[in-house]
Amino acid sequence: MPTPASTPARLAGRLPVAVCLTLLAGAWIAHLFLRATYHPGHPLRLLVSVVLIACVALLGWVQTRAVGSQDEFARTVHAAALAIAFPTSVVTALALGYARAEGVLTHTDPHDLPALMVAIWAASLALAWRRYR
Amino acid sequence: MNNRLKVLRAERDWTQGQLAGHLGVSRQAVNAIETGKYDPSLPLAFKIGRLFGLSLEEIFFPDQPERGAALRDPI
Repeated sequence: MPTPASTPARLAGRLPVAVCLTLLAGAWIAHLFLRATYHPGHPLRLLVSVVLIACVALLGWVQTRAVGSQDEFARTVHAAALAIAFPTSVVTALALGYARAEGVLTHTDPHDLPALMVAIWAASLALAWRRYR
Repeated sequence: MNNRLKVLRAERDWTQGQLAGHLGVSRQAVNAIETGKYDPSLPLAFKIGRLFGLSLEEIFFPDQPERGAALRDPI
């Protein structure tokens, strides 16, 4: 009798996404640290910025491949997650933008917005899975 | 949409994981279909029908009477 993918196999399928998320988190933390330590244009800052951008691009590619290999139910959950994440990201970006324009939250940096969007997407995914559990 | 998937699975003494293996989907998908949280696509619904040797109407049925049913079948 055929059986669904075993737990180790399913975990192996999620490994690339987990690795990318870990890399992204590490690069983001390093970027925040370097931004506070070194002046703009410093080679180290530049290098970590490139690594950060590469991590985001890699995560997008790996996640797209992972979703494509999943069954229709998982793809529905991912679509539901995007339906939550997109408007939430728009509202967050608008709120931060207007808050900065009005002199509130001026210590925030618009460069962190994409990383925040990744966090919103991850939270939305967890919420969507919870809804269908 | 409601369905008899849980009953049909129990009749064959299958676990959700075993049924998922037959259908080529995840156990979570089978659980979501059984609990009515997810309606399968037509291809998957037909696959379920073929697996149990039943028509779709014998497995899946709407929550409430169809709209207009009273007009079509007056007492």
